[in-house]
Amino acid sequence: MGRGGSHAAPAAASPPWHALPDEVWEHAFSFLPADSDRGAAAAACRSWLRAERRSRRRLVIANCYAASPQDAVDRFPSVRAVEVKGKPHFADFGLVPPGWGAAAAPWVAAAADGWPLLEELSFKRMYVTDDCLEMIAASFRNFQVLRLVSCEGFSTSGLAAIAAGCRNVRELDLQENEIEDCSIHWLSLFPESFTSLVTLNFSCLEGDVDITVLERLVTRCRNLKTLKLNNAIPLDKLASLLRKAPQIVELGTGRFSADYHLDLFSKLAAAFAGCKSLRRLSGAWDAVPEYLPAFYCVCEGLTSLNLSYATVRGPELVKFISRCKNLQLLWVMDLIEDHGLAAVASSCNKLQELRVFPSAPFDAAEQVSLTERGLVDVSASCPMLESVLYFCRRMTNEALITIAKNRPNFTCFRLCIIEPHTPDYITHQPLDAGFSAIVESCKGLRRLSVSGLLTDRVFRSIGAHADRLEMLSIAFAGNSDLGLHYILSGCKSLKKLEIRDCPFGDKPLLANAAKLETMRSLWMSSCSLTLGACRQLARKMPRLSVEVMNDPRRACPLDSLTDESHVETLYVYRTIAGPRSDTPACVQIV
Amino acid sequence: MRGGAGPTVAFIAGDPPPEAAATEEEVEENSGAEEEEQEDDELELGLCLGSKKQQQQSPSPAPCRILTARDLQPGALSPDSSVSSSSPAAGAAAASKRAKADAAPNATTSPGTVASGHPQSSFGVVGWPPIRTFRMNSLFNQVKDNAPETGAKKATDESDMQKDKEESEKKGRVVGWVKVNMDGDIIGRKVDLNAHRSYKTLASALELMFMKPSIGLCTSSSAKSLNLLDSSSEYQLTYEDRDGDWMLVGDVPWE
Repeated sequence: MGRGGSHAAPAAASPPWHALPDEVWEHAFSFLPADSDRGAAAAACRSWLRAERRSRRRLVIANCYAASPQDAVDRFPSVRAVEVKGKPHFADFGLVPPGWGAAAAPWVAAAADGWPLLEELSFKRMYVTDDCLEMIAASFRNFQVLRLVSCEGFSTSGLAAIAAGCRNVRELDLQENEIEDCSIHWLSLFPESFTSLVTLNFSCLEGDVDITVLERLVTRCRNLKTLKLNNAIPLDKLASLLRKAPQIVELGTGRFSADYHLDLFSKLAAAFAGCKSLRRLSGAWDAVPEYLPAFYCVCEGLTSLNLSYATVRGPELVKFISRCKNLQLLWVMDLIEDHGLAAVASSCNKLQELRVFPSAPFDAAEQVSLTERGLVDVSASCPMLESVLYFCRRMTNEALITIAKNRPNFTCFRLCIIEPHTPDYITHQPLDAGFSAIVESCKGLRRLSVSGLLTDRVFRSIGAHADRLEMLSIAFAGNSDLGLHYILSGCKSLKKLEIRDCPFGDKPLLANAAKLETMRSLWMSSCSLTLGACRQLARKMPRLSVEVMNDPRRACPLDSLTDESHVETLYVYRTIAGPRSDTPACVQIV
Repeated sequence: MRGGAGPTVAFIAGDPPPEAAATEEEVEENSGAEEEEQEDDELELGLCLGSKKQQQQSPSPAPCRILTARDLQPGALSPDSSVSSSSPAAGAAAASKRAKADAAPNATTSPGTVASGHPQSSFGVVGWPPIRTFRMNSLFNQVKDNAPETGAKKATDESDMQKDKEESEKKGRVVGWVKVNMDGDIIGRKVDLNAHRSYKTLASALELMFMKPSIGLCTSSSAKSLNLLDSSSEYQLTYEDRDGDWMLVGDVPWE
C-alpha cells in the first residue's frame, strides 16, 4: 500500500496514491475476483469504500434478513447481478414450516426501483411468487439470467411472463423448485424471433411440455449450451431434440426409461454420437440399464455425471461409469455399491467431487452393499478428490483415519451415517478419532458434516484444528455443553453452524455470544435451550436477531412463557436491518 | 460468479477501521474465556463457564446438566449398550425431539466410553436422514413407478375421478401427480396415481411415506399399520373432487 511517494519522487510526478481519483481505484478493484477481497479493500479507508461500492457489479446476499433490500440498493448502486439466499439450510429437510418468510418480493421491488439495469437475479430457498416474476419481466430491460434454486410459490404462469417479457434472457435455470403447474404453455410464449437462450433448465417441472414448441425453440437458439429436460419428456423425443442441438454442453435427460427397442436404441446412440461437445450429463430418471450403452460415445468427454436420480444398478451402471475416464464430478445412488466404487476409483482418477445418495433411507436393514470400503477406495485412488457427500450405514475410525491420511486436500467432507448414534461397527467406539483425524489432516476443510456416535472429544478437535471451517453440521452428537463450547470458542472461520438433537444448552451459547456476531447464522433445534438464555442473548447482542420457534403448527405465545421454558428451535443471525416484520405466528423474535 | 466467500452486506458497515477493531476485541474475549479452563479433567467438572451463580439462577431441571464427579462412574457402560438408551424416557422419546442428557445419570465423558441418553429409534423425527424434500418426493414416487407401467398413459385417467387431494393443483391430468397432506404433518408428499393399480397399493405407499417409523424398525412390536382404507382406523383417506366435496377414498372403483 504505502508506496512512500514522498521519497524519491520523479520530476513528472503522478499524484500521490492517496489522491488518485475514484475511477482508478474502481479499475483496480475490477481485478479482484472475490467478493471477500473487495470487501477487505472497502474496509481499508473511506475513499476505497466509496470507490469499491460504487463500482460493485456482483452482489451476494447470503442471508436475506442480514440487510434490507433498500440498504443493498443504496450501498451498491451499480449492481448488475444479485444472488439472494433465504431460508436456513435445514429448511431443505422440512424443519422450517411453510410461511416462514424469505419472500423475494421486497427484493424484486427494491431492485426494480434501484437497479433498472439489473441483468442477473438468483434466488435460493426463497418464496418467489408469480407477481415477482411478472415484475422481473417488466422492470429490467436487459434482463439476462434468472436462476431459482429450491424456491417455491410460483407457477408456470410466472414462467410465461418471463418467456414473453424478457427479450434478452440467456439463462433460465430452475433447480429443484416446487412449481405449480397451471397448464399454461409457457414455452410457446418465447417469441419466434427469440434466439438468445444459452441455458434452459426445467428439470423440476412436473407437468407436460409441448414437445413441438420445445423442438422449435431448441432449433432456433443456436447458442444453446445447457438443456435440462423434465420427467415428462420421453426417450424418443430426446433423440430428436439432441439432433437439433448437437452443440449441447450440458444435458439433463429427463425420463430415461422405455421398453427396449433396437431402433430407439440406435436412434439414441446416433444422436449422442453427434454431440461432440457434451461434457455434463444428468437426469436419467428411471434409467433402464439396456439403454445406458447409448451414452458410450460421450463417456470419454464427460466431466460431470449426475445419476443421483437413476435407480439403476448392476454391471451396466458400473461399466458405463468406468468408461468416463475424465470425470471430475460424480453423483450417484448407493446402488453402485462398494464394488462399483472400487471400479470408479480405478477408472476415474480425475475425480474431484463424489456424492453417494441412499436409495432406501428408511429401511432398517441394509439393502445394498455400500459401506466405508467404497469411500476408502475412492479417496485412496483419486488424488484430486476434495469434496465428498456420503450416505452409508456403517463406518470405522480406521477407515476415516485412512481417508484422512490419503486425502489431506478435502475442502468439503460430509458423512451421513444413516442411523444416529452409530458407533464404529468393529470396535464399538465413538467415531471421535476418525473425524478428529479428518480435521487434523485436512487443513483446508471448509465444510464438514459429522454423524454417528460422537462425544464432546470430537468437538474439541474440530474447535482446535478446523481453522478454515466455514460451515459445520451436527446432529445427534456430543454429550454436554462442552461440545458446543469447543466449537464456538474455536473454529476461527466459522460462518454457519447448524445443530439438531444434541445435548447442548444455554451456557456455551451465552459464554460465546460475541462469536455469533462473527458468524452468518446459527441454527439449533431439539437441543437443551431455554427461553431465558435466548432473551439474555438478545439483550446482550443487539445486532443479532434471535428467532425462536416451538411448534410450527401453533402461534408462539412468547409473553406468557417463562424463562425456564424449553426452546425447540433457535435461529440466530447477525443483521443490520433490525428485526424482520414478516414472521409467521409460530416464530417469535426475542 | 457466486463469489468464493461472498460476505453479506453486513460486513461492510459505516466506519471500517473501528469496526475491525471491535471484531478484534470480541475475538479476544472469546479466547479469554478459554484460558479460564485449565486441563482436561477440570474442564468437565468446572464447565460452569464462570457462572456457578447462573446455575443457581435457573433451578429448573435444565436438560443439560453440568457433569459432576458423581457422574463419572468407572466402567459405567458396556460398549454394546452404547446405542441403546437407558433413559426411562426412551419409550416416549421417539415422539419427542428433545435430547435427554439428564435422563442418563451414568453418562460419562471419559474418553473411550460412550454417551447415552438418546432415543434409540430415531426415524420418527422430522428431517432425518438429511435428504432434501425435493429428492424425497422424486425418489419415493420413482420407486413406485418401477412397477410395470408401460409408456402410454391409459385413458382411464380422464374419467370423472379427479383425485385431487388437499390443495389440489391443476396438475396435468395425464401425469396424475397428486399432493397428499397428513393431518399434523407439515410436509406434504406427492404421489403418482399412475403408478398404482388399486387402492391397496396406493394406501400402502402413502403409509410408507407418512409413517416411516413403522417400517419394521428394530422393535418386535408388529405393524402399527394405518389401515387407511379401514373406516374404523385412526386416519382416513379423503380426496376433494371436482365439485369441491370431500369424499372418502375407496367408494368408487379404482378406474
